[in-house]
Amino acid sequence: MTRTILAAVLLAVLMSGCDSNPLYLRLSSNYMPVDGIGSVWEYSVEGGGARIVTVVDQVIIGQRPCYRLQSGARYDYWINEKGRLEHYEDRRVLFNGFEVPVYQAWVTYLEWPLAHGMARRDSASAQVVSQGVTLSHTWIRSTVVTGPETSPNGEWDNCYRVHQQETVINWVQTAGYTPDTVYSVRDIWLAPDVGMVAKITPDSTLTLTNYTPGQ
Amino acid sequence: MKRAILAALAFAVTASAGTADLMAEIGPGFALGGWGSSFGTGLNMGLGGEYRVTPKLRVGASADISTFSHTYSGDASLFMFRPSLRAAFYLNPGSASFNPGIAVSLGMCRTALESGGGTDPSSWDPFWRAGVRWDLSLGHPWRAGLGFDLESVMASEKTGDTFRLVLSVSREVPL
Repeated sequence: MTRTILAAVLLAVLMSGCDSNPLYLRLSSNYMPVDGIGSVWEYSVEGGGARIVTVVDQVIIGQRPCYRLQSGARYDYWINEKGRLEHYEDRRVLFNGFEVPVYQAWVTYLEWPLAHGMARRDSASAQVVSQGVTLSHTWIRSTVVTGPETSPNGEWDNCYRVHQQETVINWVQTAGYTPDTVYSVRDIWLAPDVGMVAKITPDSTLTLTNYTPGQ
Repeated sequence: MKRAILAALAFAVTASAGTADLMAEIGPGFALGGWGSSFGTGLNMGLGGEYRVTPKLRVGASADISTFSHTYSGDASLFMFRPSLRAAFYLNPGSASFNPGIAVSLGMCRTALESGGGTDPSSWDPFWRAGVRWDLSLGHPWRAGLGFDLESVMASEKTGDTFRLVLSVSREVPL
């Protein structure tokens, strides 16, 4: 009898607070499906306007095959493989009317699977000489993931919120110039098998209005 | 569900006569489906006991753990803890080397994910497991078993399926 009671108590303790959540759904999902050519994300911009992001094609950048995403006149390059999402960072400094490339490299943007509290910090420093002047460039990006949670507009469940703080310091090392520091912060909500469904910065809010998966 | 588990567990632990087998299991696990796309081969380990209701039929309980690590970075791990009830049926229990059988388990699975320094909310879900065994003698009272299992964690919205190979060692214990 004692053994029965002990076993029952043990089982009750084990099962107390049983909390089911769709962990396997999240593990199975692609939170940044940038590898489907023809995928289209349509966003509304708070205050008016729209933004459309399209996976245009597959190209080779930095000696690696990647997917090219177009938004207006801007291109972004992404690789989503081997458990990580990588972004091609193409950093340029404006000097004397010229855009001088100072840093181009593939940088890990996120690692899969996402989990509440995961954090990463990426940084790079580079120097180039242009027109006889040294240009230095430093950027630091801190990323913290929280969730799972619902998107700000309540339409998407099991989202992860990606909070990023980025500091960019450009310094044209000649008389009359001082280091120019730009600090930015953004929150991005990623939904399973959809990707970015919302992005909030201090001066803009993007909300996904339509998503068409590609091939 | 809880009542059934409690009743079966009570039956198992209060059995006061006959023979039981205490066992330890180990083996690799392979995720089936997209949930394991970030993970490599897992490792399963378990302990359990079975009561011989008849020479061919055994019922009991077990607890096992599994761990899966990230294929590439090693920064992510998935842990599973599964207390369960089990039943096994063997065709030829007296044989030293030819004793095939089937084994089924039903229980709860706690799944916890750690990744990049973060931890996702853990999940408790029912699971089932079914597989075949090849049981053979290592010399009384020890026996060994080889086999494989299919397993499914019935989590909400998406199941977590696994194929696993099993190597077990058991010891016969008179009650």
